Amino acid sequence: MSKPTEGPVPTRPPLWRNIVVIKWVAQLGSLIALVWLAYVLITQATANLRATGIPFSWDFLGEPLGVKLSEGFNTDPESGLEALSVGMVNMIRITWSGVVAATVLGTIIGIARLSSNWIVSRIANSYIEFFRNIPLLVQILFWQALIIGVLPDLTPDMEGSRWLFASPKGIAIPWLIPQAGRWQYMVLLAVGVVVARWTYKKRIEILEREGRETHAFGWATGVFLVFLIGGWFAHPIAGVLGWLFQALAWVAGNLPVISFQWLMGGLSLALAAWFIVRYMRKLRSPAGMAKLTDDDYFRLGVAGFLGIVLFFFFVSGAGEATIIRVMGRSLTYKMNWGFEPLFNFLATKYDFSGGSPLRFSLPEVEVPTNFPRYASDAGNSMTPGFVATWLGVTLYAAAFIGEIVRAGIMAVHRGQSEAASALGLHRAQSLRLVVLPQAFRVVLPPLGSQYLNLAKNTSLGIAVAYADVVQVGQTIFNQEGQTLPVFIFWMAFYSSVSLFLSGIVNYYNRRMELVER
Amino acid sequence: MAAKQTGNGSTPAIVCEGVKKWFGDFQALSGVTTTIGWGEVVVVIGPSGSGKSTFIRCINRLESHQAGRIVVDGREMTNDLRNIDAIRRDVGMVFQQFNLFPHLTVMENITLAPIWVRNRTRTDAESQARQLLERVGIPEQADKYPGQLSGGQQQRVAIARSLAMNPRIMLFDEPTSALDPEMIKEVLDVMKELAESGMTMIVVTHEMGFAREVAHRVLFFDYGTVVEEGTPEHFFTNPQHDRTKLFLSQIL
Amino acid sequence: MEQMTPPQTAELAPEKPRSGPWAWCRENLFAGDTWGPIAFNAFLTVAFVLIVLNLMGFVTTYLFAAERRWAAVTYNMKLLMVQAFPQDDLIRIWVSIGIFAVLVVWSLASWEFGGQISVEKMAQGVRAAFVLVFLTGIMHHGEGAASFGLPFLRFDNPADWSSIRTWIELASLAGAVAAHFFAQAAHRRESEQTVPILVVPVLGMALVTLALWTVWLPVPEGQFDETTARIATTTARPWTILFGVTILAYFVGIFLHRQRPKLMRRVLISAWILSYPIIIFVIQRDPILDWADILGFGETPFLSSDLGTLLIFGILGSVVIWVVGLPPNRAVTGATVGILGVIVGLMSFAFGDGPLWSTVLMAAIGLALVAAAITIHEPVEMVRAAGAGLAMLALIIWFVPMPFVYRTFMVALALALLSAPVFGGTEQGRANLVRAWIPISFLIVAAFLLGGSDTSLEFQSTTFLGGFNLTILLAISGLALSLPAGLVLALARTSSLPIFRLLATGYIELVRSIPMITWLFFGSAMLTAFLPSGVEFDEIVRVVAAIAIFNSAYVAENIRGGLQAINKGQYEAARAVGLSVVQSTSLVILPQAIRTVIPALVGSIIIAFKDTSLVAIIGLADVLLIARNFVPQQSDPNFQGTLTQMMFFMALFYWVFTFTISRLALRYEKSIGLGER
Repeated sequence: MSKPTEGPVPTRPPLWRNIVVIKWVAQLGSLIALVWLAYVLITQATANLRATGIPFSWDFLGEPLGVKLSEGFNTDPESGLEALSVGMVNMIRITWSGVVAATVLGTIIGIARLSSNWIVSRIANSYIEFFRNIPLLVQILFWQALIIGVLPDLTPDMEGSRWLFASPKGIAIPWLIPQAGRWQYMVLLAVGVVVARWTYKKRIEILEREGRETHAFGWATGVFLVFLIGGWFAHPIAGVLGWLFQALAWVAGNLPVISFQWLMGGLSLALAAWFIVRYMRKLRSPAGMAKLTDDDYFRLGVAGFLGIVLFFFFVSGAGEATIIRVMGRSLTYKMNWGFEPLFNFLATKYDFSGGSPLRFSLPEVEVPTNFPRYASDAGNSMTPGFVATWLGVTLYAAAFIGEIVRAGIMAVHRGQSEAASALGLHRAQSLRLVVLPQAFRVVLPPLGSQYLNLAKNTSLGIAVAYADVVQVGQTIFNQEGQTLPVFIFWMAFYSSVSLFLSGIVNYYNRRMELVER
Repeated sequence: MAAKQTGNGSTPAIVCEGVKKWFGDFQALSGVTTTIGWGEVVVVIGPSGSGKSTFIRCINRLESHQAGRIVVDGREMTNDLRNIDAIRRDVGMVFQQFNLFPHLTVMENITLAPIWVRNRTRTDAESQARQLLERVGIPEQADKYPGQLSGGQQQRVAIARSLAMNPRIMLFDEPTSALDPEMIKEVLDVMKELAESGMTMIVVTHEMGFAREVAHRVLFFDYGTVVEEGTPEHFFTNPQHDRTKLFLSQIL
Repeated sequence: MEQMTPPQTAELAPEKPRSGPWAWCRENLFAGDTWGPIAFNAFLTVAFVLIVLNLMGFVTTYLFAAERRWAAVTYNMKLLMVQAFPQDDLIRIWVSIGIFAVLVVWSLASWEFGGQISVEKMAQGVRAAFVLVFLTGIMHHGEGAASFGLPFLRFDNPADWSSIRTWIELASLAGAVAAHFFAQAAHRRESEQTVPILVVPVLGMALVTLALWTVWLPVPEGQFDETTARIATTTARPWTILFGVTILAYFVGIFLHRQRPKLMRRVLISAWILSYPIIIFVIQRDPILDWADILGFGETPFLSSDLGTLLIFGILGSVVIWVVGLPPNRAVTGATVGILGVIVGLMSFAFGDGPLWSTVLMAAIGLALVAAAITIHEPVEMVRAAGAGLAMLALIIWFVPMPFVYRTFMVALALALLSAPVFGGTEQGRANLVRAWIPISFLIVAAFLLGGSDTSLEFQSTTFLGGFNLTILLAISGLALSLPAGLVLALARTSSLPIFRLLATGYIELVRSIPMITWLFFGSAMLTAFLPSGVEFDEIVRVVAAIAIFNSAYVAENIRGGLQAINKGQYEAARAVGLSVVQSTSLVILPQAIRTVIPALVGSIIIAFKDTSLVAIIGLADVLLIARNFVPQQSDPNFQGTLTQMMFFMALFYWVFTFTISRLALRYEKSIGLGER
């Protein structure tokens, strides 16, 4: 090591002692080692699978399976992809209804825990301690055992309609059954939500400008009701969308592939350039450009690299093949998927036809041959698997949500509710007007992760033969032996669900924070 | 008082030339140039956000500077691993928030680095730690946990912890700012004693009394650079720069 | 610092007026003005009392109905707990429970767990329990009951039930009144009477013991002929002995704690770590497995037996680590190289079929590792050595034919050697490293005993593990693996190095977004595909791996919470006194982080315990699968159709366990909250 005197003798350290070099070599080295390990594992797996005679393949997605599903919009799917999509829809169905029910129940329990009424808070507390400490699977199996073992079976003399049936064959309740017009009606409802929101904002603006009560919420509700009721009769208007979808289908099906390729390639380059420009602008201040650190160089490098790689991917043959598949122009699989078939499908749903979009219907028992069963087209008959899973995930999640709500209320409780009572509000009023809105902000992030847990927990329905995506997947790999593709499919599906859910939570989180300032 | 030569050669303790540092697009240091000799006690003052903390944190590489040079004890502060480690061992630092390790006793706090970095035996390190605790005036607290001590005592332990590595330069980052007024004196006394023993010190502080009494030189920082420097009597009685005058009028 | 003395004559707060039951009800059940008018509260109270009473009535009526066959639980208890464990070897299970119980009470004694509970509170609790029994008895409206009872009060005829109910009602009423007066008396005392909190679990265990000896249930004999028998025919005696041993051990533990508190804690921690492999692999190992394979004195050559492997790697490895951990010094180079040469030589001797170049390669790698370890002066330079060493090791792992256990050992030893210079240098650091290495080598050998194949040994499968035994094994093994993995992931995710951060974040988020059951499918059906051909693990081992993959992401998130709670100044201070990155992290940051995350980690433990029930779905015979499928569907017609009550039992069973753990955790959390500052 040379000893510089006071004079300017700038020295460069040797590479192996330079911390910046060491830092990046270690990181890139680990990255390369990992990629290499993944490569070795995949090679190994490919070889092993070939040796067992079932090479890795996605063909089952398009091939007829011959499996029957216990429930779903299509219990007799023609191909693997169709079966899996039935499973996905079933999973989303149970998650959605579970989230709604668990939120309502959990909020009630959370508030009840803070009640001054001893017995109410005690019961809420026992509920939480009870349901939280029993494994969810045990709970689901328990509900199934109750439904199968305790409820009385259907008898032939029960034939006919009632408001409620409960038997080992499942539970049947009245339902609004969607009819052909529901696609058009849904569009009108969505428009209604947007217009109602816009109205709300406008009324609030007027309130702020003129300082008079404008009943913003009432107006918004009214506007939505207009769409809700008016749409019931006017929904054929939405049939114009049919033309739009036809046009889109034409674009997806007939535009030259090369144009898509260049569009996507250009987009990826533009995205990378936009990132780089934005990043550089962030580093510039009135005092001049900041000196770039190694982290900055890394980020800019990665952005540029990714942009260029994506560009070459899209303009290459692989990009061409991908686009052909995504657009739905290649019919390698019998399952017709891609943008073109999707738009064609949607186009058939929007056709100016009238009729009520929903039909109210009571459940009904029919006795075709001495064996009573639920009529399939009346009411909503839920299988024991669905009821057990739904009850399980809902009651389980409600216990956790109750705790979250309680913690949220406690977090804002003290000073705020004292201030509210100093203003002369009742306790119930202060809860509703002051505490709960603020608690919502505290509660939201943990609530989001509970929703995610609930979504994942529905996979336990497999234990009671509920045909969700995991159960369908398992059926498929038991039959076809394609374990890895099914696992990759699960990964992709659940990752998208969790990305979607956390996206929503983050969006609201950010909005809440903005409101605060 | 003249700066004593305690270094191992002809090089000054610290040389800074045009040191610059950015945080994102905020420039914290915009060209600091100064030279500090062995045995010199330098007090750094300036308004908050003027970069004085960043400056002394750059001297032992808790922050890395992006332009210019810093040479400590003849070793240039570059990305060279060996230099950084060597400099850290020779430069002690005392923080505003003490930063004692709460899960270790006072004795363990002091002996941790000598044992693990200097490879000294436990008995050796402990006898040295007892001497240091004697020196900072709290020999009886060796087996307590930091949470059981007062702020002043904690800061004195922190000084002892730094001294345990036998540093030749000590950096103080606002050592009394987090203390209750009645505890400031006990810490300043320890620092005075240290200065009199010939230690090279850089002290960021708002204690003007300390600066007047102990400092050999005062650096005034603003907008990330040294606006004015000089001996204490010159600095406090006859400041040249407008910024300095304004600052002194606000705090005195 | 002088302590301020508070003024001597502090005014005492006025004593709270004594509230009678009516005042209490007025305040807590029928209060007005807080939640609206009195009517609302009264309505809530009455409605909920009715709901709860009806629910209790329904449940008890169901539980004690004549058709219930609770012998399905007691008769199959052994099946539920240990599945097919050989009857003659059940003593192994009892010994395991005994070791566990002694460790628990010694830990309680050593960490001075406890605190006091006031007699008044306890009496109030007992009173509430009796009142609950009384009310439930009133709501019970079944016509008959399964016959069960105490020896002096046995009744086999369902018609007897109504009179028994009267007896129960009278007894619970009397108990409630007695407890009430006891509570009153305790309240009137001047000073608050307290007993140690540990009395409560002891009383509970005593009750269980008493029940085992006295309560009788019908037990099927032959096809449909029922007779009554004690609920436990084989467990009463061992359980009683265990109870006595546990209590005795507690007092011994207290005695030991008073003699040498620090030593005892250190020994206990090691004992906890070692108890796991010892219980699973030595005490509960498949009894059929030949001990010759372990000792190597039979047909197996000594060097490829368990003991030989353990000796090579455990002891010689410790010596190498000890030497490598010395401060950099050229004099030790020769010694280390020599020892490593001995190991390499022994290994090539043990597996003579390996080609020559593999031996040469291994020797080269050993030398490279040692050279790297010894020339390291600054710990961060270790990164370079790590890169080189690991890359070479990866080569050897995949391309050199060698029993899998030795490959694993090579990696583990290399990792330990690479970290030696960081923690080494001091006597203490080197001792810690060696201490860590010994259980690691023990674990690796044991794991291969249990689940590995493609070693020179042939093993029985693990089917003798089952029931609740398996549940506990899965929970503990999964956690033991996921704690270190989670630690590494958490550190990587909070690191300042972007690629490490990215990789860790990606792993954690991907793993967490996918349900556990799919990971179990991955472990049971897909993991084998990724292993080199010929290497196969038992299903239990694969499932443990899957659980570890899943749990480590959650553990990582918990630890990350702890890391973020630590002031950045701590790290800076550690760096400023000259500690290296690794030393700052392991000596300063982690000890503090672990302490703050212990409550959250206990939460993970509870979740891990609950989640192990999922293995029932992939067909591992844990307690849940046995209760749901084996018992109600087995060929014995006595128990067909007992599904619902078995599920009742399972719910209760799991609840008792999880609730107990969570209560203990809560108490611990409170105790550190009070103790810290």
